[in-house]
Amino acid sequence: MKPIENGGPWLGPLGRDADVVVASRVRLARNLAGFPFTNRASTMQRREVVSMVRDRAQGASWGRMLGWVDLQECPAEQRTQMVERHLVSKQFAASDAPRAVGISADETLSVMVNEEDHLRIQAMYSGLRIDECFAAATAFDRGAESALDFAWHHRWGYLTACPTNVGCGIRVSVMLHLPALRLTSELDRVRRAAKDLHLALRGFHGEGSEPMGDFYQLSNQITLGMRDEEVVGELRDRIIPQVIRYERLARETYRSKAPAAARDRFIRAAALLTHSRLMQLDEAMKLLGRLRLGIASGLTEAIDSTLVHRLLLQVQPAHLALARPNDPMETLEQQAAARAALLRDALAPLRASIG
Amino acid sequence: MKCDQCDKPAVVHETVISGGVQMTVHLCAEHAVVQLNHVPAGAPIAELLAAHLTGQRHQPACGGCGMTLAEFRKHNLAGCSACFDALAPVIDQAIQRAQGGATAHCGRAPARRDDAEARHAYRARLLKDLEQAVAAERYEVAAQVRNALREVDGLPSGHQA
Repeated sequence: MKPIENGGPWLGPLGRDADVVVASRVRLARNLAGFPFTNRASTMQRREVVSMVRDRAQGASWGRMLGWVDLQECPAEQRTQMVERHLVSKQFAASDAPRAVGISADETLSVMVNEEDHLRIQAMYSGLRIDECFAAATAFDRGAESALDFAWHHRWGYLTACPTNVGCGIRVSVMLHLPALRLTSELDRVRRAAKDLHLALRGFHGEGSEPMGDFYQLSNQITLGMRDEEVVGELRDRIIPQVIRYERLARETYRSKAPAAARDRFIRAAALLTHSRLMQLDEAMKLLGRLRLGIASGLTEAIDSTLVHRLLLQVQPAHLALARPNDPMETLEQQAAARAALLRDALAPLRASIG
Repeated sequence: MKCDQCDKPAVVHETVISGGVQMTVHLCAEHAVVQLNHVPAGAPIAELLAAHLTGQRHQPACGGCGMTLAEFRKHNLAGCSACFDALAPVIDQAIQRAQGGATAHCGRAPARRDDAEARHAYRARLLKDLEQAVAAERYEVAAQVRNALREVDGLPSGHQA
């Protein structure tokens, strides 16, 4: 895999609603008929699944755009980098069984083979672009379907290892930046409402991860009894716009009630990011989140959100090590020093503008 | 007559007819407990019930991948396509619980669902499983695999006699 230069789908055009929405993703879970699912498959069978999917994809118009990475031959640092870039899951990177991932050159499409299901087809774009994600994932799915037999049940639809994905196997998730909802203590209400609507609100890296920098992933939980288009439509037309409205309202409330505090938070974040000599990951994420809110609120024009998104990736440990190959990275302190240096360099225009 | 599994005298003789496969097994008291979940005469009722319950939990419920109900309950993961019929109604409940009460798929289906090559591969795998199950004298598994084979061949699957 190429080291991150332009940063993949995250750093594409911000698009509409970019003040709140960071990125959109659609994932489809599929299994091959005639093979046990990954959790029961032998090493031989897993190898067979990898080569079957890869070979058929490589020879076909629907799959030729993918470059393949064999995870067993991939160094740990690069595996971590793919996790940080949301191209593969943490569990997938950590497992030691035969598995592979196909990634398109622009990194908008990735296909994990032998994750919890044989295929996890994922499309990701910056901003609120669920339809584009759905179209890209579905195009690959339909193509794959012409060359591979997917496990199917007359009652349960597409079969997946976990009952939570059975049916259409779709997971739509939108990465949202919700600092004002947290500041105004409204986030719990959103979380409860999401639960009632069978949606999950998770942290920056999805399942089991902590919220960092007020970034959250909102995704559907129901995959059965609803057409995939309905799942997409409900999030796109009903749920996400409502969360965006809530967050904007909370931002307005916060700004009008405490304009000096809002400005102070931004200036402090900018000052720390542009002057610190040591910066731990969680602090960097928190401060970058505040910077993003400041940009969305019009407090600076020196930098834009795309730079913040790029830095959100570049401050992660594996990206950091690859971005600054000459810096020592053995200890957390050395890592923190490299991270602080990277942030100071990248945010130089901001330092000049805040005086 | 000696036990099928060891040199001790067989005390349990059972004919198992399942899915069209008829097999007579001869087992000593110990192997009867292990293989047939056979409870020796005079065992206390609690033991009898326990043997029944644990036997059910730990015996392979799926002929396709050997998944037991206990394993499914522990990890909440199906092992293969056949699990969705073999583990019913337990898996049905798990799905409906996870899916907010939804009871069936609606919407898109794969364009081609009946691929001769995949069916052939699946059939070959089942035949191998059947051979292994018979060799290991796991007759219940053998009967289930036999059922799966009949389904692949488009024949009605047999029911336990």
